[in-house]
Amino acid sequence: MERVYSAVAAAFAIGVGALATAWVQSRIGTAGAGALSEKPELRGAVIVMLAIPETLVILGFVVAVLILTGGQ
Amino acid sequence: MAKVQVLGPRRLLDETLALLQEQGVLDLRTPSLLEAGPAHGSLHSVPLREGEHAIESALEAALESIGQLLAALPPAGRGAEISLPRPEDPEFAPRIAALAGERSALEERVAALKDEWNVVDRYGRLLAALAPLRPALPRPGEPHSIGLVMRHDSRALELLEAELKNLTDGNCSVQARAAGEGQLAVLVTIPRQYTKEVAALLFERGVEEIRLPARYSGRPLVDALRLLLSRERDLPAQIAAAEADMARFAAQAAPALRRALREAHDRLARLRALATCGETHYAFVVTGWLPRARVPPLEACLEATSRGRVTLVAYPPQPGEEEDVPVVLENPRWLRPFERLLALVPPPTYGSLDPTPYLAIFFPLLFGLMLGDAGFGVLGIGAALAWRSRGWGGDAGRDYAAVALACSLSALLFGILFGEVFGNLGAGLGLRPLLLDRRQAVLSFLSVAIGVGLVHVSLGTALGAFQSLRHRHLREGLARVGRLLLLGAAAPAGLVLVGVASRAALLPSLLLAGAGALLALAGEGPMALLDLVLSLGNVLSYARLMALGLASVLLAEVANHMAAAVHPAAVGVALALLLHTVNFTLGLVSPLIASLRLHYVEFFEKFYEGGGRPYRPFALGT
Repeated sequence: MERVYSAVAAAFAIGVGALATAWVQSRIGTAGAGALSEKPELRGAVIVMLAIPETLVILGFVVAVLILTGGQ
Repeated sequence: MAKVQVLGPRRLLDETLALLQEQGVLDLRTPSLLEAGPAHGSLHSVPLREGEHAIESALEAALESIGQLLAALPPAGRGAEISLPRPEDPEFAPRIAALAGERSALEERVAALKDEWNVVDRYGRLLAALAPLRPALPRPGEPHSIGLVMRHDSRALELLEAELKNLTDGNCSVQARAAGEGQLAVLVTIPRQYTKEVAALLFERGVEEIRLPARYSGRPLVDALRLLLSRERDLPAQIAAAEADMARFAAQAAPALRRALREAHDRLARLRALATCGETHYAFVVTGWLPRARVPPLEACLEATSRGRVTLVAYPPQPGEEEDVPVVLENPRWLRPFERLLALVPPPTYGSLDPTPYLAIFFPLLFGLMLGDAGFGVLGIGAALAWRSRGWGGDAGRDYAAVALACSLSALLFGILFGEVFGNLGAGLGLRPLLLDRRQAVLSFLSVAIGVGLVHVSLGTALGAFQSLRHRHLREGLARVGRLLLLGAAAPAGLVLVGVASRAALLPSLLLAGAGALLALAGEGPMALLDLVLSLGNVLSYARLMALGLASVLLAEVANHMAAAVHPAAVGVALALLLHTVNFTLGLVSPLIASLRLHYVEFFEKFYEGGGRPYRPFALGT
């Protein structure tokens, strides 16, 4: 049973992070597309901005790994 | 950089500006006395004279017309170049209009021939079937013929004939011949006064009418069909000849047009540069910035060309002028490709740190740590060398290829350290992990990633502290030193956490963190504590090195398992190759973006002072 709880907890850790990242990226993507139509030279900056909220899911992934490995 | 004033007799201003443009080193500025206001003796900015206004308008019009003509020309090789007047000359516009007319005529000729060919090509069988038919009306009237395409369906044909007879009061004829491939070629002949009604009926019933090219519009249909068929053999050669004429025209006109475009740009730039110059009744002054090393050559050039009548005075940047000084990055040749990675952020301000050397070290390092596969590294090296040798993308392409080469070498090196060749295939080749096995030692890999982050962020903080103290921003410098101490304290604490150091290291670590917090508080007040926490967040962000690396190695392993598990083996190998290709592509894009992000967001934030003014010298062809 403990393994099931661990798996569910790990899934939550990465799942919620992924959902949050997706939501934020959708907002940045919309704004970025608007900005690019006005100033195409911002392409690089928009790509980097899109990558910023990835931290959420990556930290979720790290937490999931820690849960599944028990920190060993 | 040096600020210079070029001074000389007023009558030499035009030729001096032309010389400065040719030298292409001076970033022009309006003289500060002119910016301050008009009340400075007789010095004023140089206005455009009456004739020059006309030249400016002519040049603007020339730029537009040349651009339109060049855009409409097909790509072509080199030919005997035509001669063009100078863009500001009155005869230039009529010459361009004549060239545009010539191009339009050639284009129309090609289009008309292609139109004919399309009809022959599309309706060839139908035209051959219709050609022998003779249009005829049962009763007197001016006959008008229409060619139709229908499915081979006698019932539909009967219905159409009945409707046409009903519409024309029985005065029409419908002749049909099989045209192959289940199609009927139908020749409908009606009195001319029913043309509109019949066209509406055919449109309503969805019957396809054979449309002939415009040049045949005046001829009776059957005559036009016969003529069109007779031209079938000649058309390809005529089209090829017309296209060759167009290509010859483009080859002769395009180089001359491009040269005229450059001339017009350069001349217009010189005219507009006059607004930044100052003049009195007898003298002129041109002000601007240029790299210090370029001052003596420019001075010598002016001296030689004007025989001492134009002189140059150079000054170092004065306090308060920092924002006006343009920035040039000066790095050794091998570091210059990495300057391209700064294109996404504003240039550093004058006198601040150029991050290129740090980018050149850490960008490939972080990329390699994420991709970390000898197989992908070798593929990347091959692609980068091919890119470089082919010269794709010009100078920028060569620089990007150099960056790609450094990143691929790093991926190869880390691939050897991790014992990975296309995932776990390295084990089969006898390769063993020298540093760690990323698939098994996940937490060790995480520790390495965080450790690299700690070093990177600490370096950024140290650079920031150094910069603050050098500029005598003592409070900011103190806070940055405090942050650096906290990061230094985090290192032994982390080592204790992973079991590498003994617990005895915790006490000095805590003392260091306390000292750091005190320094930060003393420097920037309570808000500095928030910055301390954010600095640790910056370090944790480097966990993405582990996450992306692990994802890459596991995807490669899945591909290898697929090759072994799927039957037949050929399908498994094909799927594995496909997955490896996807992984390689992701392995190039994700680490690239993640590495850039770590630099821009975590590293640069600690010391980078953006907002510098790019160095844009007044030069030919800009």
